[in-house]
Amino acid sequence: MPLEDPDSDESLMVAYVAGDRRAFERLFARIAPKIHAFFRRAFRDEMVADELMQITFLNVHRARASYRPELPLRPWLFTIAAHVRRDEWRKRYRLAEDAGEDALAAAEQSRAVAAAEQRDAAEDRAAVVRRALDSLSEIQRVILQLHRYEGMTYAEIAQTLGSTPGAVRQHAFRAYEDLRTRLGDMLRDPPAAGGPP
Amino acid sequence: MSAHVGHDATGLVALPELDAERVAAYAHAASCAECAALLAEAENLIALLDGAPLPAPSAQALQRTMNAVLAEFDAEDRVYAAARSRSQAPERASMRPSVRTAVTKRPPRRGLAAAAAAVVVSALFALFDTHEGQLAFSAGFNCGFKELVFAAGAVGLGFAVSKGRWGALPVAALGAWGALAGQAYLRFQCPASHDAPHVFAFHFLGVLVAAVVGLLLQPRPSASTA
Repeated sequence: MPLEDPDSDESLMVAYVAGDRRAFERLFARIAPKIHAFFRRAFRDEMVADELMQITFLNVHRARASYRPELPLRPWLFTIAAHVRRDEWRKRYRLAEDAGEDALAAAEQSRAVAAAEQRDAAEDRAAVVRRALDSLSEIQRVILQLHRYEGMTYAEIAQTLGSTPGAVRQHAFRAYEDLRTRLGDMLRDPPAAGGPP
Repeated sequence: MSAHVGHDATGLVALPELDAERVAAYAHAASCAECAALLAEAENLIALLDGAPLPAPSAQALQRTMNAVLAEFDAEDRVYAAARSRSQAPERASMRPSVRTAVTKRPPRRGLAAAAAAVVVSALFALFDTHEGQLAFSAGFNCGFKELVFAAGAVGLGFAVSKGRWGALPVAALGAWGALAGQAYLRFQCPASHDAPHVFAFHFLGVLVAAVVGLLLQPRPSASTA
């Protein structure tokens, strides 16, 4: 049980809800970079990610009394972040309040940034991978971020984004296949150890 | 999995190590060189992804966000301290968010003043537009019923205009003013409309009942900030 570990995210959250600022600061140090990465992956913009991270933590703070300690913390936090992300997309594309993930994906895809593919090719390996990730659709980027970098299951991601595990799995598999296609040369022809591609 | 992994190779490799689909894919690849090559390529891709996390946010951005939350903490503590000193009943720390919400965010019912105004207008109407007369008891229930029908109509109209957002509806005010409209209608239709006992007992009372019932039916605006 996570609550038995006083250093777990859930235990820190319980202490934070009870008014322990130190617990909040420790939890913040752990979680904030993840929330920031989530937004940066979704919007590909550091300043937007900065702003949305702040909105998310203020929303978390205001909603903290509704946290249920018996549930894992991260899906709860990312659900709040996902709402902030959706509000931001709605604001940008003037979508209806009840617009779902499909409408968001369509709007975002219509503005898909080809610029990612036009940048200077002489970048390091990680930058090339990040660029390939940037070229995916927004929903694919978000799902990969939560799956690959946050270790969330498809069921947890579905709950976070208000989707179904099957749909999330489909997006993820398609995204991984897209990446394999885009990074094919790098995969088949790995560079010498330590050197750039 | 007995089928070839095909385009699902990377998705399968990305699954948890003990996932049944993944295990089956590797079992299949043990006897299929083509799939084994695809899975190996997929493993390289996963390693590449794992080696390319996003850069951390700037220290300034982190500090800004933390300061914003700590400022809310401070503001809540001030409100909490003030509430505690008023109530002289210290609450347990774990109850603080709900206490704060109750103290700071609970707004009054919507339209309370408007409902009260309708009741006052009704009373003035009954006071200055009547003279001594009869109670007309048997007609009275009919009058009261008609006023409540007007009240229900006004609430129903408000409900439709607000597109079903009951929580946002000033039910008491709508009910009271609807009943007052009924009282105005009865001013010309009721045979005892100038008999003070009748008007007070049924016409005015109808408006009062509509306001009170509306008040009871009306939810307080949400105090949640979540």
